[in-house]
Amino acid sequence: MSFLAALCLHLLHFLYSTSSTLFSFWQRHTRIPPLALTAARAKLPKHLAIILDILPDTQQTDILETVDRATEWCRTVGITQLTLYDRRGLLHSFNQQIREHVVQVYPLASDSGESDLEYPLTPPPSDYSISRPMSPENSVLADLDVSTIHVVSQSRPKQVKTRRNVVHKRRERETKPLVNPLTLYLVSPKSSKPAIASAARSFVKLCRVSGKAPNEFNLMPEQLQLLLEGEQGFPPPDLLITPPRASHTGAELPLELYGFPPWQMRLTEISRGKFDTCRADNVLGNANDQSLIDEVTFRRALDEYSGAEMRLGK
Amino acid sequence: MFSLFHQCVSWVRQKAQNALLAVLAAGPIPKHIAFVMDGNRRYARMNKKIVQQGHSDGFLALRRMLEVCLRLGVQCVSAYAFSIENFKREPAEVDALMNLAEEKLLELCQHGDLLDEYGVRLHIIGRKELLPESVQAVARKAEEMTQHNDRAILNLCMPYTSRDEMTTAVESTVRKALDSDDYSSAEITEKDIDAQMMTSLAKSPPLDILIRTSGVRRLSDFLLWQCCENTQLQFTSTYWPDFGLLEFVPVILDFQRKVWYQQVTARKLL
Repeated sequence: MSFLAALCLHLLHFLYSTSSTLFSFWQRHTRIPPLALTAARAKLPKHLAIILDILPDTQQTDILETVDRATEWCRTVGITQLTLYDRRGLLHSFNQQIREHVVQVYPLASDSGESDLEYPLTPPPSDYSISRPMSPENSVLADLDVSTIHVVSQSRPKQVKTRRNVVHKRRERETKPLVNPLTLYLVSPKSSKPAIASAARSFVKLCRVSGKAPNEFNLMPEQLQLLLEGEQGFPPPDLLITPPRASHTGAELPLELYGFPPWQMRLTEISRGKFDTCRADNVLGNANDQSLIDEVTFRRALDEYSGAEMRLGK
Repeated sequence: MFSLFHQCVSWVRQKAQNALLAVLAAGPIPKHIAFVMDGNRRYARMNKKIVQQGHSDGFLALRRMLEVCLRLGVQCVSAYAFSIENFKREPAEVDALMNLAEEKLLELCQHGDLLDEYGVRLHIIGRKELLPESVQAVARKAEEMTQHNDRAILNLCMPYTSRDEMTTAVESTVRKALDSDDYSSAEITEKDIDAQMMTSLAKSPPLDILIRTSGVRRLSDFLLWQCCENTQLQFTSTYWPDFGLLEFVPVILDFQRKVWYQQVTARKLL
């Protein structure tokens, strides 16, 4: 009986996979293409987060190019905050290189003399940081492992050759004015649950210093919010783009958050890169492109967000 | 004659459902599934019913899905019944929801009913003190009635928000650390906080699947801590009262596909 059930289950999976593949094929050929990057949308996220599935052998140039592209698209459409996250923490380990790259692309003094870059506003990730007032008489220290880079260039970015399609990129940039400031957050798995544990350790230290009894310690969500979303943390994103993933058989795997910081996910709209643009090694990109994110996925996520309704419990 | 035909259809349907569940149970089965039961009001509007009827139909859907999960062998089901934010709704709707909770909680726990039949222990998760006194009393009684059941768990989250749960867990962890001389603050890890989560205190296994209905692609402050790692998120456009086995089967197939993939990956790493 169990053998028969197992056989039936495999048949069911086969039928499901076949119908999913056909549906995906049909969708690919009937789907309306997303609006252009600069098209007017009813609603735009202020803060966009992207989960990148960076493999351990990903080249540094690919990562820098991804940061470069995402930054450029956000500034073009008017998104003012961008969070980049990867589940292996590789993005964060390239923190210094990304900072240096951003300095190159958005230099302190541009050709027109209009550029300005605030760099760096936060210490390197290895530093113990944060000193936030929780109440007038005390302060809390916690290690949130978030790197913040402010890009406030008022002119077009300087060209930095990172990849082969530089000429194409230059042409693109020359036709689009980039004037919007952007704050870039580099977030790692340590900024997730470990950051909340770090906050708890900080509260214990603080209570011990001030001699508070256990029952005298009361915590409000607003206090934790102030700490995790404050200067050394990062604010909650309005929209999160997650990468599609394929199994060993090439079938699509279910949506996951890969350890993205839970506190900030409260009201975040979740968009997923379409499976038909998924590269075989599980990243947000397309088969002919080695970058970690493609513009179509970005534009499609903005279109989805534009149509989302927010009710906030009402 | 019509009644006989109806009975036959119902019998065939039941048998087909049982066979389908038996087939699904031949593969890996999730231990913990959570539902965000969204879309009751839109379902009511679409079907020209009053809002309260939409919520009543939503409760029937919960019963239906709970039974499917239990038959499948799922150990724990969590349902987002009422958010702390929902107190912002029209007083008439809040009152109707509280009355529904009061009426249905005891019904669900009664001898011979679903929770008794499947040995399910009920936990009300959230800030219970915010509920009206009468609902609190019923919630206490319902929990007591099922406290000896140990085959499965039902977490009814009301009134609940995940940020409130995380804050409470951090507060409890800090208090525990302050209370113990051996408990050095340097030793507090995410596991300590996890142990203080309301779902952990209710002995719930890690969350495998979170399903949200009605086309909304947000978590809306539900189980944020529990679902950020290795949890399958499933968003479906069906309104909650219409959610049934047809929508549920692909979710389980996706879960099985993921588990098999993880097994293959783990074997490759060995």
